[in-house]
Amino acid sequence: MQISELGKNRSNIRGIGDAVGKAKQKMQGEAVSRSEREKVPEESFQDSLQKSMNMGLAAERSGAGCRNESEQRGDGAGRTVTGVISCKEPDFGKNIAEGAAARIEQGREAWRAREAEVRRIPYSECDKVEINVLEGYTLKAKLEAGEMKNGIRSCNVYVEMKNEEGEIKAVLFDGSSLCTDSDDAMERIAYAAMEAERSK
Amino acid sequence: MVSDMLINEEREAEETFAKYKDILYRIAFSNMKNKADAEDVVQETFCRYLKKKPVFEDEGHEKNWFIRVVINICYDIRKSVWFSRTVGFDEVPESEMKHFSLPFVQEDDMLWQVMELAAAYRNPLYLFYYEDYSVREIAQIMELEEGTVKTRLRRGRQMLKERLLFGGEEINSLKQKEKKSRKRKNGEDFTDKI
Repeated sequence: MQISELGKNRSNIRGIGDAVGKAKQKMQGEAVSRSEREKVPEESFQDSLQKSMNMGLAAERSGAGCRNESEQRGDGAGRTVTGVISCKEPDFGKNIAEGAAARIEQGREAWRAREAEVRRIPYSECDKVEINVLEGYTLKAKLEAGEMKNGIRSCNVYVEMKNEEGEIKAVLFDGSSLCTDSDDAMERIAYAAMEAERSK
Repeated sequence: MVSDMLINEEREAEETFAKYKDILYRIAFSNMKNKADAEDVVQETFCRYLKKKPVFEDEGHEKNWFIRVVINICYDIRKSVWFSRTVGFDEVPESEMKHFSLPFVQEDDMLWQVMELAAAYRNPLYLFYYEDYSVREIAQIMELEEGTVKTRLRRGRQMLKERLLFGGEEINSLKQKEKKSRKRKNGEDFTDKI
């Protein structure tokens, strides 16, 4: 098959013998690389597993956010993985399995933040207010009881942001999966409100 | 019968005073920059209310009326000859800062910077950020177009940035330039208008 294909490209090939030789070389090369691939045994499998894990974590950090409170405490009660761990460590896989189990438990209801209806709560009803005149926005955060999870009532944080044009955006954060060092101002105030409540 | 009516009126006035005195004091203070003048303004506002006995459509209308009157009284006082000859603070004196507090918001230096702006920018900025009024509400209170309020918010913020970057001197020179150009255009001083 390859020979006939190569034979068609006569402009690149000097003769049929040459073509056959080149095809042979190519096949040999392929065979070598295949054998080399087979030579690298479990290590490469672990590497690829590690890579996919890391990619998953990165995606989770960028998309769904960073580690949550419980993850930081390391009690495993929170949502998923506790961070990047080496596959050679004894705990390798344990946390992932736990995380997966937690995810299955939460099922489709798992969420970190979702857009909410604007309620226009006054400052007097807020747990935390942040005014940033220079940046041109105000932030209001209010803690509220969430749904029941494993017999424990979760805590949500309702956050409102008013920009310079007077437009208001509202987001409801799941209190158990707030990021400590988020770049998002809304999430930061949600976390600060949770912390303030905790320290009371 | 008459005495009952008077008692009722008195009670209503007291309730209204209790409801609005704090916010009116804060707005008056942000304009007058001292406690004594702010209290005088609030008192004068309630005197006008009792004299006029205006009828309001709803609570929002009532609140907006009070705020508008406070701002107008502040403007009148600051424009008066007496005020310009005696004390005219651009900055809030440190001794007066303790007489001002926001109930639900942590005060920061920016608040005092906002108070130093010209009334045209100070009032929209103060109401928008520190009293959480919407653009529409501010437009109603100040009898301006919503677009004008947005412009003043944007310019006020810009002025604050410049103030922080270049300091007071640059701002003063900018203010003077603006004053001169306005005077040339309208034959009046714009910067302290609400």
